[in-house]
Amino acid sequence: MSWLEKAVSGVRTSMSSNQDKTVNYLMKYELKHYFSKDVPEEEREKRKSALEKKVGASFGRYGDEVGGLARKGATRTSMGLAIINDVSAYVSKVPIANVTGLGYALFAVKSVAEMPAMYRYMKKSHDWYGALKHYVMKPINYLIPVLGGAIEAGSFERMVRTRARKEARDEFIKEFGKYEAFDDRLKSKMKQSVGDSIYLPRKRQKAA
Amino acid sequence: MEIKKVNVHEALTCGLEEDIVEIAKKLESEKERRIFVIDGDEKVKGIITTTDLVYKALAEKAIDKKAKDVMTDKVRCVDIKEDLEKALGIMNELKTFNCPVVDDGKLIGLVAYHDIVGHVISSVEK
Repeated sequence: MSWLEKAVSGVRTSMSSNQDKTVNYLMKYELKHYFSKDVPEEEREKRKSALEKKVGASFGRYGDEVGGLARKGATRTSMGLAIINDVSAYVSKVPIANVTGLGYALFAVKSVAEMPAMYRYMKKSHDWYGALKHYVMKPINYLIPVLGGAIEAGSFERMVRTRARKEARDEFIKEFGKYEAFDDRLKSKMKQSVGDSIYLPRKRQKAA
Repeated sequence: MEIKKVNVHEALTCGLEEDIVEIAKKLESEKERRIFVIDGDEKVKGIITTTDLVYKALAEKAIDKKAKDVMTDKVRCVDIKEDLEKALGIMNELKTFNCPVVDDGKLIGLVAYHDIVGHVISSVEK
Protein backbone atom coordinates (compact mmCIF):
# COMPACT_ATOMS: atom_id res chain seq x y z
CA MET A 1 0.00 0.00 0.00
CA SER A 2 2.39 2.62 -1.29
CA TRP A 3 -0.23 5.37 -1.11
CA LEU A 4 -0.60 4.74 2.62
CA GLU A 5 3.16 4.76 3.11
CA LYS A 6 3.32 8.00 1.14
CA ALA A 7 0.52 9.57 3.23
CA VAL A 8 2.11 8.51 6.52
CA SER A 9 5.51 9.68 5.38
CA GLY A 10 4.01 13.02 4.27
CA VAL A 11 2.44 13.60 7.69
CA ARG A 12 5.61 12.54 9.52
CA THR A 13 7.70 14.86 7.36
CA SER A 14 5.36 17.78 8.03
CA MET A 15 5.83 17.18 11.77
CA SER A 16 9.58 17.54 11.54
CA SER A 17 11.54 20.74 11.09
CA ASN A 18 14.43 18.72 9.62
CA GLN A 19 14.86 19.84 6.02
CA ASP A 20 16.73 16.68 5.06
CA LYS A 21 13.62 14.67 5.85
CA THR A 22 11.62 16.89 3.51
CA VAL A 23 14.22 16.47 0.77
CA ASN A 24 14.21 12.69 1.26
CA TYR A 25 10.41 12.55 1.24
CA LEU A 26 10.21 14.53 -2.02
CA MET A 27 12.90 12.37 -3.62
CA LYS A 28 11.23 9.17 -2.54
CA TYR A 29 7.63 10.02 -3.35
CA GLU A 30 6.56 13.24 -5.02
CA LEU A 31 9.58 13.66 -7.29
CA LYS A 32 10.65 10.03 -7.51
CA HIS A 33 10.75 9.97 -11.34
CA TYR A 34 13.39 12.72 -11.33
CA PHE A 35 15.60 10.53 -9.15
CA SER A 36 14.95 7.13 -10.66
CA LYS A 37 17.74 4.71 -11.54
CA ASP A 38 17.35 5.67 -15.22
CA VAL A 39 18.75 9.10 -14.40
CA PRO A 40 22.58 9.23 -14.50
CA GLU A 41 24.24 9.50 -11.10
CA GLU A 42 25.77 12.88 -11.93
CA GLU A 43 22.40 14.31 -12.96
CA ARG A 44 20.78 12.89 -9.82
CA GLU A 45 23.36 14.65 -7.66
CA LYS A 46 22.76 17.89 -9.52
CA ARG A 47 19.02 17.56 -8.99
CA LYS A 48 19.42 16.69 -5.33
CA SER A 49 21.58 19.71 -4.76
CA ALA A 50 19.01 21.93 -6.52
CA LEU A 51 16.21 20.41 -4.47
CA GLU A 52 18.10 21.00 -1.21
CA LYS A 53 18.54 24.65 -2.15
CA LYS A 54 14.88 25.03 -3.00
CA VAL A 55 13.72 23.37 0.21
CA GLY A 56 16.13 25.57 2.16
CA ALA A 57 14.85 28.72 0.46
CA SER A 58 11.25 27.71 0.94
CA PHE A 59 11.67 26.89 4.63
CA GLY A 60 13.66 30.10 5.07
CA ARG A 61 10.76 32.07 3.61
CA TYR A 62 8.44 30.77 6.31
CA GLY A 63 11.06 30.72 9.07
CA ASP A 64 9.26 33.26 11.25
CA GLU A 65 5.99 31.39 11.00
CA VAL A 66 7.42 27.95 11.75
CA GLY A 67 9.69 29.31 14.48
CA GLY A 68 8.23 32.07 16.65
CA LEU A 69 9.19 31.02 20.19
CA ALA A 70 6.54 33.15 21.94
CA ARG A 71 3.73 31.71 19.84
CA LYS A 72 5.14 28.22 20.08
CA GLY A 73 5.41 28.51 23.86
CA ALA A 74 1.87 29.78 24.22
CA THR A 75 0.33 27.24 21.87
CA ARG A 76 2.26 24.23 23.19
CA THR A 77 1.55 25.18 26.80
CA SER A 78 -2.15 25.65 26.17
CA MET A 79 -2.42 22.35 24.35
CA GLY A 80 -0.37 20.60 27.01
CA LEU A 81 -2.78 21.91 29.62
CA ALA A 82 -5.74 20.83 27.47
CA ILE A 83 -4.37 17.29 27.33
CA ILE A 84 -3.78 17.19 31.07
CA ASN A 85 -7.29 18.56 31.56
CA ASP A 86 -8.75 15.75 29.44
CA VAL A 87 -6.72 13.07 31.18
CA SER A 88 -7.68 14.33 34.60
CA ALA A 89 -11.34 14.32 33.56
CA TYR A 90 -11.08 10.61 32.80
CA VAL A 91 -9.18 9.84 35.95
CA SER A 92 -11.60 11.73 38.18
CA LYS A 93 -14.62 10.27 36.29
CA VAL A 94 -16.23 13.63 35.51
CA PRO A 95 -17.79 14.28 32.09
CA ILE A 96 -15.39 14.86 29.22
CA ALA A 97 -13.40 17.86 30.26
CA ASN A 98 -12.72 19.34 26.88
CA VAL A 99 -16.27 20.63 26.79
CA THR A 100 -15.64 22.53 29.97
CA GLY A 101 -14.76 26.20 30.11
CA LEU A 102 -11.07 25.43 30.63
CA GLY A 103 -10.88 23.29 27.51
CA TYR A 104 -12.47 26.04 25.39
CA ALA A 105 -10.31 28.69 26.96
CA LEU A 106 -7.09 26.85 26.21
CA PHE A 107 -8.04 26.24 22.59
CA ALA A 108 -9.03 29.91 22.33
CA VAL A 109 -5.66 31.00 23.76
CA LYS A 110 -3.89 28.93 21.14
CA SER A 111 -6.03 30.33 18.32
CA VAL A 112 -5.40 33.92 19.44
CA ALA A 113 -1.67 33.30 19.91
CA GLU A 114 -1.23 32.05 16.36
CA MET A 115 -3.24 34.83 14.71
CA PRO A 116 -0.34 37.20 13.93
CA ALA A 117 1.66 34.32 12.45
CA MET A 118 -1.40 33.21 10.46
CA TYR A 119 -1.82 36.75 9.11
CA ARG A 120 1.82 36.89 7.99
CA TYR A 121 1.58 33.39 6.55
CA MET A 122 -1.52 34.20 4.51
CA LYS A 123 0.07 37.38 3.18
CA LYS A 124 3.03 35.37 1.94
CA SER A 125 1.40 32.19 0.74
CA HIS A 126 -2.28 32.89 -0.04
CA ASP A 127 -2.79 29.32 1.06
CA TRP A 128 -6.55 29.54 1.54
CA TYR A 129 -7.01 25.80 1.33
CA GLY A 130 -4.47 25.13 4.08
CA ALA A 131 -5.96 27.83 6.33
CA LEU A 132 -9.49 26.59 5.76
CA LYS A 133 -8.46 23.04 6.60
CA HIS A 134 -6.66 24.28 9.70
CA TYR A 135 -9.73 26.15 10.98
CA VAL A 136 -12.24 23.47 10.00
CA MET A 137 -10.22 20.92 11.99
CA LYS A 138 -10.18 23.11 15.12
CA PRO A 139 -13.74 22.41 16.35
CA ILE A 140 -13.24 18.71 15.55
CA ASN A 141 -10.05 18.69 17.59
CA TYR A 142 -11.94 20.39 20.45
CA LEU A 143 -14.22 17.41 20.66
CA ILE A 144 -11.58 14.66 20.58
CA PRO A 145 -10.42 13.97 24.10
CA VAL A 146 -6.64 13.90 24.76
CA LEU A 147 -5.67 13.23 21.12
CA GLY A 148 -7.45 16.38 19.92
CA GLY A 149 -5.10 18.56 21.91
CA ALA A 150 -2.10 16.65 20.64
CA ILE A 151 -3.23 16.95 17.02
CA GLU A 152 -4.00 20.64 17.42
CA ALA A 153 -0.64 21.36 19.10
CA GLY A 154 1.47 21.32 15.90
CA SER A 155 -1.32 21.88 13.41
CA PHE A 156 -0.17 25.36 12.36
CA GLU A 157 3.45 24.32 11.86
CA ARG A 158 2.38 21.29 9.85
CA MET A 159 0.31 23.51 7.57
CA VAL A 160 3.24 25.88 7.02
CA ARG A 161 5.76 23.09 6.44
CA THR A 162 3.42 21.33 4.00
CA ARG A 163 3.10 24.59 2.10
CA ALA A 164 6.86 25.15 2.11
CA ARG A 165 7.37 21.61 0.82
CA LYS A 166 4.82 22.13 -1.94
CA GLU A 167 6.45 25.39 -3.01
CA ALA A 168 9.88 23.75 -3.10
CA ARG A 169 8.49 20.89 -5.16
CA ASP A 170 6.75 23.27 -7.60
CA GLU A 171 9.92 25.35 -7.99
CA PHE A 172 11.89 22.18 -8.67
CA ILE A 173 9.41 21.04 -11.33
CA LYS A 174 9.53 24.52 -12.87
CA GLU A 175 13.29 24.23 -13.25
CA PHE A 176 13.55 20.62 -14.39
CA GLY A 177 10.32 20.40 -16.40
CA LYS A 178 7.18 18.42 -15.91
CA TYR A 179 7.91 14.74 -15.85
CA GLU A 180 5.59 12.22 -17.37
CA ALA A 181 6.49 8.55 -17.10
CA PHE A 182 7.30 6.77 -20.39
CA ASP A 183 4.36 4.38 -19.97
CA ASP A 184 1.92 7.25 -19.43
CA ARG A 185 3.22 9.10 -22.49
CA LEU A 186 2.91 5.91 -24.50
CA LYS A 187 -0.66 5.34 -23.35
CA SER A 188 -1.70 8.88 -24.16
CA LYS A 189 -0.17 8.67 -27.65
CA MET A 190 -1.94 5.40 -28.29
CA LYS A 191 -5.20 7.17 -27.50
CA GLN A 192 -4.53 9.71 -30.24
CA SER A 193 -7.08 9.47 -33.03
CA VAL A 194 -6.03 7.93 -36.33
CA GLY A 195 -7.23 11.07 -38.12
CA ASP A 196 -4.80 13.24 -36.15
CA SER A 197 -1.89 10.89 -36.81
CA ILE A 198 -2.03 10.35 -40.56
CA TYR A 199 -1.23 12.22 -43.72
CA LEU A 200 -4.47 12.18 -45.63
CA PRO A 201 -4.07 11.20 -49.28
CA ARG A 202 -3.98 14.21 -51.59
CA LYS A 203 -7.53 13.97 -52.86
CA ARG A 204 -8.83 13.85 -49.26
CA GLN A 205 -6.76 16.83 -48.25
CA LYS A 206 -8.41 18.88 -50.97
CA ALA A 207 -11.85 17.82 -49.89
CA ALA A 208 -11.16 18.61 -46.20
CA MET B 1 13.08 15.78 -33.25
CA GLU B 2 10.42 16.11 -35.90
CA ILE B 3 7.45 13.84 -35.44
CA LYS B 4 6.47 12.28 -38.72
CA LYS B 5 2.87 11.41 -39.21
CA VAL B 6 1.73 8.00 -40.33
CA ASN B 7 1.68 7.54 -44.09
CA VAL B 8 -1.52 6.19 -45.51
CA HIS B 9 -0.76 3.80 -48.32
CA GLU B 10 -3.05 3.67 -51.28
CA ALA B 11 -5.33 0.64 -51.29
CA LEU B 12 -6.09 -1.30 -54.42
CA THR B 13 -9.83 -1.21 -55.10
CA CYS B 14 -12.43 -2.66 -57.41
CA GLY B 15 -16.17 -2.43 -57.92
CA LEU B 16 -18.79 -4.95 -56.81
CA GLU B 17 -19.57 -5.96 -60.38
CA GLU B 18 -15.98 -6.23 -61.55
CA ASP B 19 -14.94 -9.42 -63.25
CA ILE B 20 -12.57 -11.59 -61.23
CA VAL B 21 -10.23 -12.03 -64.19
CA GLU B 22 -9.77 -8.27 -64.28
CA ILE B 23 -9.22 -8.32 -60.52
CA ALA B 24 -6.56 -11.01 -60.89
CA LYS B 25 -4.82 -8.89 -63.53
CA LYS B 26 -4.89 -5.87 -61.21
CA LEU B 27 -3.40 -7.89 -58.38
CA GLU B 28 -0.71 -9.25 -60.67
CA SER B 29 0.25 -5.86 -62.11
CA GLU B 30 0.36 -4.17 -58.68
CA LYS B 31 2.02 -7.17 -57.04
CA GLU B 32 -0.66 -7.19 -54.36
CA ARG B 33 -2.35 -10.06 -52.58
CA ARG B 34 -5.58 -8.31 -51.67
CA ILE B 35 -8.03 -5.84 -53.16
CA PHE B 36 -10.81 -3.93 -51.47
CA VAL B 37 -14.29 -4.01 -52.97
CA ILE B 38 -16.04 -0.64 -52.80
CA ASP B 39 -19.43 0.64 -53.91
CA GLY B 40 -20.25 3.81 -55.84
CA ASP B 41 -19.81 5.91 -52.67
CA GLU B 42 -16.34 4.44 -52.08
CA LYS B 43 -17.65 2.58 -49.04
CA VAL B 44 -15.94 -0.69 -48.24
CA LYS B 45 -18.10 -3.66 -49.07
CA GLY B 46 -15.60 -6.46 -48.92
CA ILE B 47 -12.10 -7.72 -49.55
CA ILE B 48 -10.75 -10.25 -52.03
CA THR B 49 -7.48 -12.03 -51.43
CA THR B 50 -5.59 -14.33 -53.74
CA THR B 51 -6.80 -17.18 -51.52
CA ASP B 52 -10.41 -16.16 -52.20
CA LEU B 53 -9.74 -16.31 -55.93
CA VAL B 54 -8.22 -19.76 -55.65
CA TYR B 55 -10.83 -21.27 -53.31
CA LYS B 56 -13.98 -19.59 -54.60
CA ALA B 57 -13.27 -19.36 -58.31
CA LEU B 58 -10.41 -21.53 -59.54
CA ALA B 59 -11.27 -24.52 -57.39
CA GLU B 60 -14.82 -24.38 -58.71
CA LYS B 61 -13.64 -23.69 -62.28
CA ALA B 62 -15.83 -20.59 -62.27
CA ILE B 63 -13.75 -17.70 -63.55
CA ASP B 64 -16.80 -15.82 -64.78
CA LYS B 65 -17.73 -14.72 -61.28
CA LYS B 66 -17.98 -11.12 -60.12
CA ALA B 67 -16.21 -9.46 -57.22
CA LYS B 68 -19.31 -9.57 -55.04
CA ASP B 69 -19.46 -13.38 -55.48
CA VAL B 70 -16.01 -14.13 -54.13
CA MET B 71 -15.39 -11.32 -51.68
CA THR B 72 -15.28 -11.66 -47.93
CA ASP B 73 -17.80 -9.12 -46.74
CA LYS B 74 -16.70 -8.69 -43.15
CA VAL B 75 -13.79 -6.26 -43.33
CA ARG B 76 -12.22 -5.01 -40.11
CA CYS B 77 -11.44 -1.32 -40.56
CA VAL B 78 -10.47 1.52 -38.28
CA ASP B 79 -12.31 4.82 -38.57
CA ILE B 80 -10.24 8.02 -38.52
CA LYS B 81 -12.08 9.06 -35.35
CA GLU B 82 -10.91 5.92 -33.54
CA ASP B 83 -7.56 5.72 -31.80
CA LEU B 84 -4.25 4.18 -32.85
CA GLU B 85 -4.62 1.49 -30.22
CA LYS B 86 -7.72 0.24 -32.03
CA ALA B 87 -5.81 0.01 -35.33
CA LEU B 88 -2.98 -1.95 -33.70
CA GLY B 89 -5.54 -4.13 -31.94
CA ILE B 90 -7.15 -5.08 -35.25
CA MET B 91 -3.77 -5.95 -36.76
CA ASN B 92 -2.78 -7.99 -33.71
CA GLU B 93 -6.05 -9.84 -33.80
CA LEU B 94 -5.87 -10.64 -37.52
CA LYS B 95 -2.08 -11.18 -37.48
CA THR B 96 -1.63 -8.68 -40.31
CA PHE B 97 0.64 -5.70 -40.78
CA ASN B 98 -1.83 -3.40 -42.51
CA CYS B 99 -5.19 -2.02 -41.50
CA PRO B 100 -7.72 -0.28 -43.74
CA VAL B 101 -8.66 3.24 -42.65
CA VAL B 102 -12.13 4.57 -43.35
CA ASP B 103 -13.79 7.91 -42.95
CA ASP B 104 -17.44 7.30 -42.20
CA GLY B 105 -17.26 4.04 -44.14
CA LYS B 106 -15.35 5.48 -47.11
CA LEU B 107 -12.01 3.83 -47.74
CA ILE B 108 -9.05 6.20 -47.34
CA GLY B 109 -6.16 3.74 -47.54
CA LEU B 110 -4.02 1.46 -45.42
CA VAL B 111 -1.87 2.15 -42.40
CA ALA B 112 1.08 -0.09 -41.67
CA TYR B 113 1.89 -1.56 -38.25
CA HIS B 114 5.50 -0.34 -38.31
CA ASP B 115 4.45 3.19 -39.32
CA ILE B 116 2.14 3.47 -36.30
CA VAL B 117 4.74 2.06 -33.91
CA GLY B 118 7.38 4.41 -35.37
CA HIS B 119 5.06 7.40 -35.01
CA VAL B 120 4.14 6.59 -31.41
CA ILE B 121 7.75 5.98 -30.35
CA SER B 122 8.98 9.20 -31.97
CA SER B 123 6.13 11.14 -30.31
CA VAL B 124 6.97 9.69 -26.90
CA GLU B 125 10.70 10.30 -27.23
CA LYS B 126 10.25 13.92 -28.29
